[in-house]
Amino acid sequence: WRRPHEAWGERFRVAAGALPAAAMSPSVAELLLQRLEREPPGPGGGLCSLEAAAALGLDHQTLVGAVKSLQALGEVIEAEARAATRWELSAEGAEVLRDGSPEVRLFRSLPADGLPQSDAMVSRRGPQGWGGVHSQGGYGSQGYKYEWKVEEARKNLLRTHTTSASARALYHLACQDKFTPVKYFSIDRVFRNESLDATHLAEFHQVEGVVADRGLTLGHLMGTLRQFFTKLGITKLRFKPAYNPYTEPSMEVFSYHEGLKKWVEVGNSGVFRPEMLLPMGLPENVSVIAWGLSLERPTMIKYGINNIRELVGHRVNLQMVYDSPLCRLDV
Amino acid sequence: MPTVSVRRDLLFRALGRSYTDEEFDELCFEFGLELDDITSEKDIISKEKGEGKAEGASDIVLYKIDVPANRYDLLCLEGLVRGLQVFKERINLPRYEKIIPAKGEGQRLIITEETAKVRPHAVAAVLRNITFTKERYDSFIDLQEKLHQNICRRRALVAIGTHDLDTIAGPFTFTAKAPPEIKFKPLNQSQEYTASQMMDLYRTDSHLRHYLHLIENKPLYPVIYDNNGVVLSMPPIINGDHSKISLNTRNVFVECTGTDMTKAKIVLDTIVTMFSEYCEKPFTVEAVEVILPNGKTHIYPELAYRKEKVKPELINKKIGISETPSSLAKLLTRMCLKSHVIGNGNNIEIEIPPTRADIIHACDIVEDAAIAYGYNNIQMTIPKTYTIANQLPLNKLTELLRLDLAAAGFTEALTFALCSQEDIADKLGTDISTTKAVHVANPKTAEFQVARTTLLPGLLKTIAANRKMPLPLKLFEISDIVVKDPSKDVGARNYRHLCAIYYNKSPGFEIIHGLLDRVMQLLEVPPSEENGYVIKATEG
Repeated sequence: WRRPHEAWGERFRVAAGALPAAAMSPSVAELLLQRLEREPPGPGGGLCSLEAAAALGLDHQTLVGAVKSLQALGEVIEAEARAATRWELSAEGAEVLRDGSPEVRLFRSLPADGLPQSDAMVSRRGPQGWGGVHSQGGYGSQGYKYEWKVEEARKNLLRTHTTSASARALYHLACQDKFTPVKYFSIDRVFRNESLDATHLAEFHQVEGVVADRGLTLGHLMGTLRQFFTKLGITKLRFKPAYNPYTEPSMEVFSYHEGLKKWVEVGNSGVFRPEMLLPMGLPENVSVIAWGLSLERPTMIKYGINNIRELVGHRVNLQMVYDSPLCRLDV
Repeated sequence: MPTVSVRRDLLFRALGRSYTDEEFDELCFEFGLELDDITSEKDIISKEKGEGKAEGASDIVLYKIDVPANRYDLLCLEGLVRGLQVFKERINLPRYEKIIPAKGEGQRLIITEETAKVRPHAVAAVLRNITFTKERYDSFIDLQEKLHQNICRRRALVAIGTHDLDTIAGPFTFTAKAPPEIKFKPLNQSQEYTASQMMDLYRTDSHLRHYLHLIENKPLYPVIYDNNGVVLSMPPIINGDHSKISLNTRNVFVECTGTDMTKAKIVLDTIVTMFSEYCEKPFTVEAVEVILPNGKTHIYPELAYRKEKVKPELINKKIGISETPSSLAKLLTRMCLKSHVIGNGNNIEIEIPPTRADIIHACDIVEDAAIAYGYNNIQMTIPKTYTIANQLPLNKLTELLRLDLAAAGFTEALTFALCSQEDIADKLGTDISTTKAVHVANPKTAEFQVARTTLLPGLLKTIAANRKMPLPLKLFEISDIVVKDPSKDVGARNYRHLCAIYYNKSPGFEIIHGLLDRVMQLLEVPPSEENGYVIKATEG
């Protein structure tokens, strides 16, 4: 429940002699150097970057940027990274302090004459249900046998795939009094904090389809995919076993690209795992098949675009937008 | 997806036949693997350092095979070959046997209570009378590295140490001590160092420096000693040089320490099942007794075989095929899940070996049956699900407006939802604290510090990037912005905004005014202060 709280900063001093020429208006580097001048030189003196940023009314990251560029000039300043740690209660720890441990909370919530375990798990939709499945198993699963932490699960993220939205939609479906079959789709933005290059951006779009009904099979998923891709003008398909943590069986979908003369991956799909669906409260004989693909990749393949920045973002060439023909896929 | 690099000649020798590259690619596809690249050491060095440096490097062909992240039994040549041979029905899956030595003769590993705060769990096993060749040795080291990078989460959850048992003497002790008190000669070094000195020594090591933080700031560091005080290892950083393995090593002591007991057991099982192939008595592993601080003892490796019963109808129903129970049992056996029909032919009993820790539910068994059947042999059908479709009203409205804005002569832009703080504050003449923006805690660059609270910066940047285009530039975007909202479970809310911009030699306020009037007309919002819209002057 406790975790170290880290704060780090850099201490720096001006080296004797070297100072760059003054610029027209005071840059961050200039302001920093001016402040540093006032500090005593030598190992004992110097400034802490966190304090300096606060005093100058600057964002710490901006100040660090200035420090790095000054360091790049040569022997102008010396900087040394330091870390300070202290212990503090994590969110989960604070919760336990306030409400008691999960064991205590479960104990307190049970009625005097008890409750069958399956009811206790299903009636508590949410953390109790998933925590149990992940840590010890349940719903016919061995479980993942690790310590599931609610604090970790509650961390806010920009979603990396639209499956998170599908999961929410399925949860609302499960909350209905009576189950009705559904077919959902979404086409929306996703985010990845990865290194950027010609084919990767921090944000792009995904297309996702979901069918929830009783008695769905892998054959149904393949048939649905075949019709879906036919509408996109892709007919030659092959399916390959794959792995996703939340689907089993899982399949990667490949199509034959006449131009590149090879099979390329066009999508990913699978049947959602019971460990995901049953804690939501969906009936046991309901299966959910789902598939997804990115928008940008097939578009780039179809139009022969090599750099994703030509397709998304502010650097798109407006002339390309003015001149583009109709997009006719299934003709 | 982990990638395993294997020599093509060794692979085909172990498989008992040759394949063309296409044939092998096909086999991989069927099984769920991907033949990612065909290369050689020479090619790799050429690409990384230039052709000059590649002189004299081996041009033995290497296959780089992508393996699913949950298949720890396919992370080395030995495992791949075994899996493929069983899949092709050329061999039966070997039975892994745990040999428990007579009382007093086996190895013991004692865990002291000091480890509890830093690295509490440990398991161990012995590979007896093993024969290493250069290839087997390299494969042994590679597997440990692959496991470290994947299931061990870069050594944070589990760290592996393998030692020449003949250079050390049990019983072994796993304890934790203050850094200055730990002193030994680490692997491939020529002198002894204390643990504190090792932290500095390895700070510049391109490989080891990434693991230092796992124990660096703890008061006590984990360490394993033998009966004579020889250090076997200081997990998860480095092993001792004394007990290092060579090609001549005959008996190996394998220890796995970590913070996750389940994964430590899986890792140990994986190593010993894969490499016990080369023991004098193949596929046997000598057990080690582990004694916990509270006095309880456990025997490792677990090498557990688990039995599950699955109904043939369930498998057929979930996949969409209709195979007989005995045919299904045969399919599963091909996937290393030894099965046979029981009851009156209406049930299948499946034995899950220790190499298949990824099987945790019946759906995993269903997938394996489908793979053995061949995904591309399954008949494709359409679900009979009947539903009435509807578009999300907000998106429907957006689609309608987009068309009419284009009809008004404006061009659509698609800009980034993430931008810098300056973009939504300073550059628009406001302060970031008034914007209620959602900040990204770990942006890789300043370009994604915040989620946009207005569409304006995106459109302005589009104009800036297209300054050479003929004027006027008339752009619009209808998309989401994000603001903080404590009433939502995620603390933020999206709003659909419409933004239009007119860029020309003259400002053209009347153009934008006209566009606004047109949009309001389309939305049936009258120009009226009481029940419609009105334009007012604003600051900034």
